[in-house]
Amino acid sequence: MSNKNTEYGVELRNVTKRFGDLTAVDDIDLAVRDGEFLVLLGPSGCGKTTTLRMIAGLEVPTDGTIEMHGSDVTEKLPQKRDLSMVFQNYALYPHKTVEDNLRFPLGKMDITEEEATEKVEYATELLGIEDLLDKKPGQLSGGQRQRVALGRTIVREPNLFLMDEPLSNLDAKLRVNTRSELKDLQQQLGTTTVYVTHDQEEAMSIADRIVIMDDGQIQQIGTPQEVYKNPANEFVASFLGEPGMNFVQTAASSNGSVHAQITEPVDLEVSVEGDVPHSKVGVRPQDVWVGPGNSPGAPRDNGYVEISKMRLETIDPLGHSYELRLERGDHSIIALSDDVPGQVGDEVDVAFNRSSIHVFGENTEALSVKP
Amino acid sequence: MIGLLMAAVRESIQTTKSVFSGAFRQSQIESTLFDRLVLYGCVGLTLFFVLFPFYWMVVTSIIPSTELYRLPPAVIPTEFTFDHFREIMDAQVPFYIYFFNSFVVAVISSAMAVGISIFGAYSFARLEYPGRAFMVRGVLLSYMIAGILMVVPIFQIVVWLGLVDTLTSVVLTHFIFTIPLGLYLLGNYFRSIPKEIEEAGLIDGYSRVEVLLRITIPMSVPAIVAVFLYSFLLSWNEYLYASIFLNTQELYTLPIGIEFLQFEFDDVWGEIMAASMLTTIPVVIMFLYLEKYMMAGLSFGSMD
Repeated sequence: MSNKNTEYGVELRNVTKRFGDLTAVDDIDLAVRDGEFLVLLGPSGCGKTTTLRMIAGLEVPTDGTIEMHGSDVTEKLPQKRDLSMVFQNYALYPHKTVEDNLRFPLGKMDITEEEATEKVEYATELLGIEDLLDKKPGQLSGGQRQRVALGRTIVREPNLFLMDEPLSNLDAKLRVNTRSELKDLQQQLGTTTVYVTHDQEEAMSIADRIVIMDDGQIQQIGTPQEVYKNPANEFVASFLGEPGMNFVQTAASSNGSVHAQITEPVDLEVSVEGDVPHSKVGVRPQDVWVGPGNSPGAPRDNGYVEISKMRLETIDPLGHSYELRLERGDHSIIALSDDVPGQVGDEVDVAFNRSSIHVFGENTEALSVKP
Repeated sequence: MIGLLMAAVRESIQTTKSVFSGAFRQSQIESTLFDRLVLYGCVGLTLFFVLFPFYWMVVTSIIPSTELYRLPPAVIPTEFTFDHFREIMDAQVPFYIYFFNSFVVAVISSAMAVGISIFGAYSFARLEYPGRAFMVRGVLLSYMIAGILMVVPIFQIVVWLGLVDTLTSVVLTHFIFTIPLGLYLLGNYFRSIPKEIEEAGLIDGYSRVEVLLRITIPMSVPAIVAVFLYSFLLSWNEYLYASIFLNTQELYTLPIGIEFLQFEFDDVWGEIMAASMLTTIPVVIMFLYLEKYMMAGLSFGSMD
């Protein structure tokens, strides 16, 4: 049975892609579940687009295999994979009208003219682009082009949608609206979707699971909550979240207890397995408490542990809160705070939320923390 | 025919007008009368130098020969005649025979050049295979070689093929000389088309050849028209090879036909200019007609 039913719509095994000396994708394993919305997230050049293009069949892996529903498609041509793709620049056919753009993918299907018309009508209705049918791509706005590109993707009702940064050319507001529509659309159609983006907020809001990639390798796979709350390593921890996570060196310790060191070692009252001489502590800016220097101290009862006194260097109002930059010696910490604890130049107290402390070992891997 | 010509002329006048008004909309703010005089002066001078020979050709073809030799020459003619046209049509080998020969040679050789260039250029632009870079450069190199250097080798090949004194030999030669530029122009144009548009076609279920025929070629109409026009003009005006390969007068193409007129007529300038007129008009019409296709594609907007 070549078409055995598996849980996974798409499976990549030991896939590597090299372009000359450059290794774009380095021995990755990835399984996309049927019907899920999977987002490949990472900085530019991390190999996410190459991975998507290999799934599409536009690139052939240097090594490894790709399976779809149990059958090997590693070297199958894109037109035989029953998938569709939205490109970053939409890649609409400029010489065809919107209607012909939508009809084009149907031309190779074994359906009658009436069925094709029905499908086009269904897609245009779903996306609300009925009034654009006679126009050419050059006459459309960015948002309209994006919709047409999406229409061309769904009209054929393939097994798999691939999307390569489909929202990156839209302006901020439209991007946010479109991404929730996109999510709705995917749930409505139930089609497995692999989506590439470098925008973590987009990934968080849209994904069932996120695959975080860096340097051609998969750093972590998990739900948005998992990768945010329990980053597998320093890269994931620093890549997710805005502003990024603070890192503080630890001091030598024993019995697995962790001491952060800004001036002198401070016992964070958390511990890890074994002794870790070269570890780092990570705390997100929203888990940093900042209080006036002569205050009664950090809200210990709320689970905070005081770290050090630091100088308040800058205060950036963000609207909903303030971004504070705190410094002491070479150390710098970013905190998000609802109110302003003092003026620029003031000495303030800085405390970390104990339950939100991450500890990373020698090889940047996350260590499990015991309070 | 006349309607087409008029429409084309009207269109190019419109284009010219809009270009000029564009130039002056800008200068309304900044330019002085002097600026404008200089601009008009330069444009006028250029037009005079470019157009006066054509004007003289037209005049010479429609005045009696006696008028032609008057001193001082009459810039604005007073007597008109179509005798020169009549004479070249009534000659032993009527002029339209040359016309027909040239047309056949030019159409076939440029159609071949366009057809082969499309596939060759696509392979240069999009496909990966060993030796591609060498071939791309080699094609350009062959374009650099002066035509006269190739006369002897090509003549030897034509003799070997048994094609001396046939139009086929001329078709093949013109094809050989136009194809490098065709490959080069179309190759560059294909490269300028975003790869993603073709990839979208592949993903939409079409093979590479289908994508080429249904997406790449329709998008490349301007470049294809340019290559066709270039090939057609080169073939239409080519003298050297045609004069070497063709011996029978009935097979002559226009440039040799015009040259041959001087052996047939005594007072030859009127006839030659009439023949030149007839040679020029179709090219002008074709250019005016095809020009809009060369412009049409430049304002595509499928991409951001």
